[in-house]
Amino acid sequence: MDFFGSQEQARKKSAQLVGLFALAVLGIVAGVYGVLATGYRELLIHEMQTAYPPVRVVDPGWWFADLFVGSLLGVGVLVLLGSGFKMLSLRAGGAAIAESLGGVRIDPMTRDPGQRRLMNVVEEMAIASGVPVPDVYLMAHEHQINAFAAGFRADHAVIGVTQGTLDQLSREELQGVIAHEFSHILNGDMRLNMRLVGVLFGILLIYIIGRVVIRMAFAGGGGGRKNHPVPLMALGAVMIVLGYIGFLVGQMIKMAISRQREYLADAAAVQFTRNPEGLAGALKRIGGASMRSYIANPNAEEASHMFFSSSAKASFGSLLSTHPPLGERIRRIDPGFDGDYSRFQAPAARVAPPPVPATAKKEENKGEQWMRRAILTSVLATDRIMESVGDPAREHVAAARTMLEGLPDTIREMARDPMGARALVYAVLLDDAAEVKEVQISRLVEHADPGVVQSLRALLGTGWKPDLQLRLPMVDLCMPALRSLSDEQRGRFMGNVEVLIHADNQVDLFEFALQAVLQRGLEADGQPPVVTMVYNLKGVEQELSVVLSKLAQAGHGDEAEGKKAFGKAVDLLADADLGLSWREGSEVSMDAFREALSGLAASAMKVRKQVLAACLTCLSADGVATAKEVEIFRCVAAVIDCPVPLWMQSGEELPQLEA
Amino acid sequence: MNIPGTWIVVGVLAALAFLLIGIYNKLVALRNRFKNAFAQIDVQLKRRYDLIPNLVEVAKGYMKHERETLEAVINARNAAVNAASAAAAHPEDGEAIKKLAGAESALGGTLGRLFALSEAYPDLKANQNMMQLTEELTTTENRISFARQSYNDSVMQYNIARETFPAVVFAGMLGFRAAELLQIENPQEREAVKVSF
Repeated sequence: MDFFGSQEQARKKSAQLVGLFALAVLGIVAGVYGVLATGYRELLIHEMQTAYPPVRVVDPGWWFADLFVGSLLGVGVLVLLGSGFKMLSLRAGGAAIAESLGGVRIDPMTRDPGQRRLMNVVEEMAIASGVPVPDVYLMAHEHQINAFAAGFRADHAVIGVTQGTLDQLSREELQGVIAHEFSHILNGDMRLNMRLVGVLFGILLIYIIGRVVIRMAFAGGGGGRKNHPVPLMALGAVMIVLGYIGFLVGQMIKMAISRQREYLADAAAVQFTRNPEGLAGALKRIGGASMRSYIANPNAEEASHMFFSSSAKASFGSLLSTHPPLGERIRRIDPGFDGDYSRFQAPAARVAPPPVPATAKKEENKGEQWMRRAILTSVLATDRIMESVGDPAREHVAAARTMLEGLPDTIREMARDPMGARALVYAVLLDDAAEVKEVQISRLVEHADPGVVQSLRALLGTGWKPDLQLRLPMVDLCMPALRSLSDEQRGRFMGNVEVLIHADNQVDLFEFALQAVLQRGLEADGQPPVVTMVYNLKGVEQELSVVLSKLAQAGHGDEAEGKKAFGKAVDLLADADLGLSWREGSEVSMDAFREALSGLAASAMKVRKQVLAACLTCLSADGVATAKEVEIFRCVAAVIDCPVPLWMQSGEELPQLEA
Repeated sequence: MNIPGTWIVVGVLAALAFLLIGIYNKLVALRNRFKNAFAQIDVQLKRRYDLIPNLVEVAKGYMKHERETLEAVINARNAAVNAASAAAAHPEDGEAIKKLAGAESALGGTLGRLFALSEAYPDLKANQNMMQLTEELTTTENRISFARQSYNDSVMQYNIARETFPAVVFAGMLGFRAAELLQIENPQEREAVKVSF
């Protein structure tokens, strides 16, 4: 590979693309001018034709200097405003970005062998590239191979690496990955990207303002006839069209630039390491992994351009993907590559082999990410409402997160191992009453894998008891390991879960939620998804009444308090004009509640979002969200298929759902 | 001279000044980069000398019958340290540099033998300290070669920047001289030891 030549070429191409990007902005100016000029021309001709005394009609031509300067300035100001705003919000340093992606800073003096090796490799690459040694962050919960660089100046940059990268790559491959990230830092790719995003946002602003203009034109249409609604509307429509097309085209160019920067970084990585096999090996290993290099953290989408390899499946094909196709990247480094990844499936196994879920196919698809963000937004929106009454939910979420991180290492290890994961699930289902527990255990001894029973016994021997509100999150933690069970094991496991749940002849909310989560997580592949039947809140009035009443009663001691909470939730949904009615405790049995939840689960995403927001309002109406309430909330969310991530960070910026 | 003429002259001079400033700053940045790379080579050589006694100390406990090899490593290391300080005192002395190169290659040879022998001691290979030391030694070897490579790459960039138009017109005037690449006279001599277990 001619790595100097390749870099030169990638630089040239990305410079051309940046030029194209600027041309696109000029195109928008031209478009705006064209429309304004047409209108103005018509107006002039019209005036000449209707003038009194009559004048000879002359062609006014196409050039109106004022109009041109006006559109140039108008578009210019919008783009500047937009990019200024966006840059302010993106300015967070590399450390903040790394933390939002779930990274924890590695102590440069670490004694952990895997981390030590990583730090050494980073320092080697700092020497090779002549860049100051950056801080390094470890994403301990990500088991795929990926890494990123963040930060807008070389001396404040950080590098983040997933646990999977540490575990699966050989030293040379790791070197290739880190060298690639150093190239991003050295070439200022994060800064370039931020600028492009800023300008893109400015273009989007044209679209947004166009919508506002149209709305104003409609609103003003009835009143004084002076403010010509028709020209206004035309202007609005043009702004919408230009803004939209400009945004799309700009987005495509930006992605093309991003892909060129990846080639550049690959070539530079080979320059730094002088070892094409290392980088190619890492890429091939990603190609051989069933989950590729996908990142689970929901914030990864915003940062997708910074990663070593695609952090999520591209949704619109190659035009809008941030990274070039894996095969093409490999062939540029290693032209002899035949595209067969099967030889690279086994990790180079260093420290401890991570649990690679063999059957997990669609763990983190785009839809799921959107859902997470949607939920997050709705939850945060209610957060805002509740701020006036003192908001406990936020600290609670943060506290639960710390708690999850504070789980004993042995438990976390168990959750990653298929045996241990099953034992953990069984353990949370064991009843408090001794006689029921005995029945449950004897069932397990008969029907569960002996290894699982053994690990369950060991677990019970330690006297460990899961925190109430950590039970569901812990099951989430077990999910990847559970997915790697064989069909036969999974069938047996689900059967045992069923029996354990019914051992005391009743199904409580947690048990119900747990079963729903397991069914969805483990059996989703073969089952048709729940069909959406209801598209507005009106259609689930009855169900919502039941659920909210039940939540209000569960969360609040006396009835008056409960009714008040219910009222608050109703207020939140006041816009929807619903006939929600309070149900007495006797009317909302567990069965009725479950049925209502199943009904809600069949409603559209938008509806479920609102439902969740109402539930959260209801539960925290008294300003105290107890552990029990938080768990109820999580259960409801899980049953209606809107899992609320425990790792969501309430303090951060609202995800943008518009745009 | 009329007024517009004056302005044109001022404009051209200002543009020239900016161009000069740009060239100067770029060359300074590039020059510092390769100087830093050169300094790294020294730092890492020293780091390697510091690591070796620890390595031998750990290995001693396991490789009782390889006393000779271990002593050879220590001797070679001490010889290299002496040669390095002699070379540092007289960097212009070609003989001293040559001696250092010889001592380095002797050290590399004995280290290679030590690692070959250690293959026969599984306990040693599994030793936590030994694993750490091996990792440290690997990274040091890498750093030495990366520093050398980075030096050469940045010298190349510097020279290209210096010799292309328009910088080539001014570089000599501003005191930027061509930099030399690091040449290895006998490639085997300075080859890094491949540390592997």
